[in-house]
Amino acid sequence: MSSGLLRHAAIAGIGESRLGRVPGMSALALQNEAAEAALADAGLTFADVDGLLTTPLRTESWPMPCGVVAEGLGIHPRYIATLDVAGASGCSMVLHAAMAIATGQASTVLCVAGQPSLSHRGRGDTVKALAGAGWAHPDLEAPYGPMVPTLYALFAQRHMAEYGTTSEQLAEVAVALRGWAGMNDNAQKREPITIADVLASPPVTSPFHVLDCALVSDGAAAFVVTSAERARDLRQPVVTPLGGGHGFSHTYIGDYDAPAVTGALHSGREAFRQAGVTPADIQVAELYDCFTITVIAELEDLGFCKKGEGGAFVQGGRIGPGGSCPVTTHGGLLSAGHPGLAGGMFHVIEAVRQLRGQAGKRQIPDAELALAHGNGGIIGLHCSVVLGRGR
Amino acid sequence: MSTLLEGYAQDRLLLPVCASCGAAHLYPRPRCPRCGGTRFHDQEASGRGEVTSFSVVRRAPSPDFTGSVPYTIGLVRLEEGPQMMTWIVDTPPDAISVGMKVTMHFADLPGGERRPVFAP
Repeated sequence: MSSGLLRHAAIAGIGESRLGRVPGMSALALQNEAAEAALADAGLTFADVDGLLTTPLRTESWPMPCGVVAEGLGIHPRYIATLDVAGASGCSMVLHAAMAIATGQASTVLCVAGQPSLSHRGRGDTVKALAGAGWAHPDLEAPYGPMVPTLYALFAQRHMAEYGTTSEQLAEVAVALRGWAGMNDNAQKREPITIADVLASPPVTSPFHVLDCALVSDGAAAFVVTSAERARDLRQPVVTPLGGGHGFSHTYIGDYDAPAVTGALHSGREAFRQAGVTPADIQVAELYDCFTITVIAELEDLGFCKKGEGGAFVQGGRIGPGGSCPVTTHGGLLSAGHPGLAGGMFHVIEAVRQLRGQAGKRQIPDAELALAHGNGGIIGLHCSVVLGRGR
Repeated sequence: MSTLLEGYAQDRLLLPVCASCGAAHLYPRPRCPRCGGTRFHDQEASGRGEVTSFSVVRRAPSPDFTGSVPYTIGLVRLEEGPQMMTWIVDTPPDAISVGMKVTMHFADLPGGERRPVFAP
């Protein structure tokens, strides 16, 4: 598909459920809360929805997630699919929904996902379930007892050895995103933190402390993709995808040569090429942040700084409030919340909010170009989407 | 895969080597990622390698590991080429560094699997 066709789509509605600890809510109830909000935001109803994209859950096993969600919401879409590129799913949904619009498979695609990660079994059980979720190779890695944070820690430790990246630089990422979260009323963690706080938080798996790691959250997110032409007649300012791409390097971290560039190089290059822009043109970058190192690697591989210089780049508050390169302005997975595969959808939603001028106290003035970037697996699968104000 | 696990049962690390291009691998695949070859033979690893990364795990991921924390998970690049996840043992964590030379022996892991581990 040419980038021209991608621009024919628009994100017309965005919605979040309550995020953080939301007791008594099933995955479907959370997803319904987000979907209602997104449709109301667009000025649409469930009766307008003829396309559905969702993801699998990590809290329970659904036989056919898109079918379970469609049944739960009482819709019968003619375009319906379950998408799973793990943390990259949110960004990928935008591209897949745009393709469905461009090929006439649907006129209004509801993208929705979410789960009660925190209340379902408790934080500890979720962390343990993640440890066994298959991110470690069952025969070659799992017997050694890595947690998911360990798999990223191996990437981080190599980055530190190769480029001199420090724990203080990792902590800068957590501090910056907490700063943004302080201006997001739906964020799970809003109290300010310092670099010293991050370094003093309990060690998990070196070099990571607790505050280097994503939260565990209840919540859901939704957005509605339709044609740009139709979006102009709806309630909100039009935001369109201008370019997008995916990039894959590996599934198992043991099989990856860590100092190599990640798939973000390829996903970003393709997204920027289609959009006809460069990283320097991006006014706000909503980068996936499952761990602090993830943001540093993405800044490098997407081209915001040179390879190996991401640690120095984030120093001095550059990516936080008031900084010259605002990153993940809702607070991200580190501070706003991380309800499973829905986590990366919040980055898309925040990009749309910024481009509409609806981000409140954290609004980047006159934001016209934004990047949303998702990362799935153990930093092995990436999806980038350049978004812009529609005309 | 079965060859690798059969090797582990005999305290041997048997690497699948591509019969077409000679590249040694570890992670099982139907195709050689270098040349596309589909036939492999086994080669016993020398057991020598160097640390490419490591992480000291402070929290047990499952009850099996509760009595083992802290332990050091490492990535080791074998001299034959493949990289593997392992434990770095018999050395204090602050003595471990990327690039350190290590050698392999077999040990019983907390979940009961017998696997290669490495020491300086």
